[in-house]
Amino acid sequence: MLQAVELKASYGKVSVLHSISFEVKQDEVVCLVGSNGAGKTTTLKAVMGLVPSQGDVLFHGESIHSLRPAQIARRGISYVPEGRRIFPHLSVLENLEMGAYLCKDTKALKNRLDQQLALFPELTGRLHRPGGTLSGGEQQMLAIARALMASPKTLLLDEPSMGLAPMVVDRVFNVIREVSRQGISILLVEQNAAGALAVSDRGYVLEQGRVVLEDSTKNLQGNPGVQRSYLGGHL
Amino acid sequence: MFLQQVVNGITTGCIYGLVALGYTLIFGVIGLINFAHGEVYMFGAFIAFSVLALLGGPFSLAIVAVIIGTALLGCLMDGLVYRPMRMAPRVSQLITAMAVSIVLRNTAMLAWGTRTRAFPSIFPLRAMEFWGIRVTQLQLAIPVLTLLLMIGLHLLIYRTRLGKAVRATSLDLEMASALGIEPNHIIATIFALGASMGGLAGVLVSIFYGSLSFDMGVAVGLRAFVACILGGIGSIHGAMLGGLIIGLAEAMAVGYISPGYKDAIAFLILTLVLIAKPSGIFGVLVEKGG
Repeated sequence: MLQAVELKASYGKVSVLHSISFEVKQDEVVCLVGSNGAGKTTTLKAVMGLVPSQGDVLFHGESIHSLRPAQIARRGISYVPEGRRIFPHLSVLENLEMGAYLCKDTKALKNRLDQQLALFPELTGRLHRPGGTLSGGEQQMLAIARALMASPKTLLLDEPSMGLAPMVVDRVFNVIREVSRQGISILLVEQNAAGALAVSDRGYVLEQGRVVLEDSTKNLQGNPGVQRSYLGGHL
Repeated sequence: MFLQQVVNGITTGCIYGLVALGYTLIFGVIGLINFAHGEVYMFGAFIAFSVLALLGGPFSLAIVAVIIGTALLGCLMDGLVYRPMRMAPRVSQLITAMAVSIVLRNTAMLAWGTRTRAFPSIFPLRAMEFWGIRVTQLQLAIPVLTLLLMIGLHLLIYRTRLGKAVRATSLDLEMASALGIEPNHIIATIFALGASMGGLAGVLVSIFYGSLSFDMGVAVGLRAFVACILGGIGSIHGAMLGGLIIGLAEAMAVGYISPGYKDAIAFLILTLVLIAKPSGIFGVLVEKGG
């Protein structure tokens, strides 16, 4: 349903993505793993229309490549950025409301809110606090909840486990499984390759702006090169 | 004398505050000091003047024309000039804003002439005396109107879906756009909003002084800009407070030192703020964009 075709992107004269092609099918969790600077974040931003790129991005068979980010969001793609990017001076509730900005039906909005609070009970008591006062883990939950408020078909997740305590990291990956069960396909970018592969169906390995390997997570987990480079060699 | 100057200071302070809101709203979202904002204030006055002089009123029609006219002017300014410049370096944007200011001022000069025009007297401006202080009805009306506009703006920004989107966009434009908020719509909205408040301030001043001229926006634009810096640029409440402080300081300087120092006060305050607390009263100094 989401397909990137030979995506290329550069910051000024420095080329970051050379030619990235991948696909996320209905109900799939797909991860992009790779080291720092491999182009994972840029790939997500290019899909979301946040950085200029060449190539094509198809969603449900239609090109969304030349659309503005807000139009892409309207098509049903939600984005959880690296570093969470909660609106710090907006309350938790307002952050969630902004996630559902495109939904003007107050009843549907209330339903979605209840749904998210069921999935993220830790936010319930914090609804009227400024988003910036939450802990890192809570902010990550809020960022995911905010994205889900849009009721997306596909969720883009950029480094959701970054900078979090191990227990919270487990919680994040459990949430990803739960979201996937709701029928939302997920494109996950992670440096924590072990965790990412554990929740994904398929994975792509990125090196220096190129896809160097693509396989089912089972095969990737068994691949000696992947073990050495991304899994610490002891799996 | 002191109370009289307080009354005078509050009147002009409210005007500065209203104009300052336009600067601060726009800066809050796109990080641009719209130096042409003083000209919008002037256009507001001239739109009302034209409606009253050509059509003979009614005053309510003039006010509607000012709100719509200046809101359109704000949107046009953004759409035709600033939007294509959005990715340009900050300095280029500032210079562009100055150019827009010059173009607008000269347009007004060609349209309405260089003379100071008398504003049609629609209200009999009766002055009342309380304990030796002379207060005109308008001097009472200006703070009340300003307060109402402030409350309206506050409710809009903090209570409505649109207002929340404005705040979200000002905090993180890219993230807001990824949530489906069109930044250009939000920016056009705040240009319209800021411009119409500035335009209304221009009308109030013209009625108050009974006159208007094509260059009336320069001095007020400068003071309102200083009011923003003083209050903390990007802060709505700061802009209003900054306006009041400058209005009062000017009134005191006029009353106790010499009317000649009136123009120096804003510069003095600007200098002091930049030395002592560059982020202003409510401001958190943020570096926006490039």
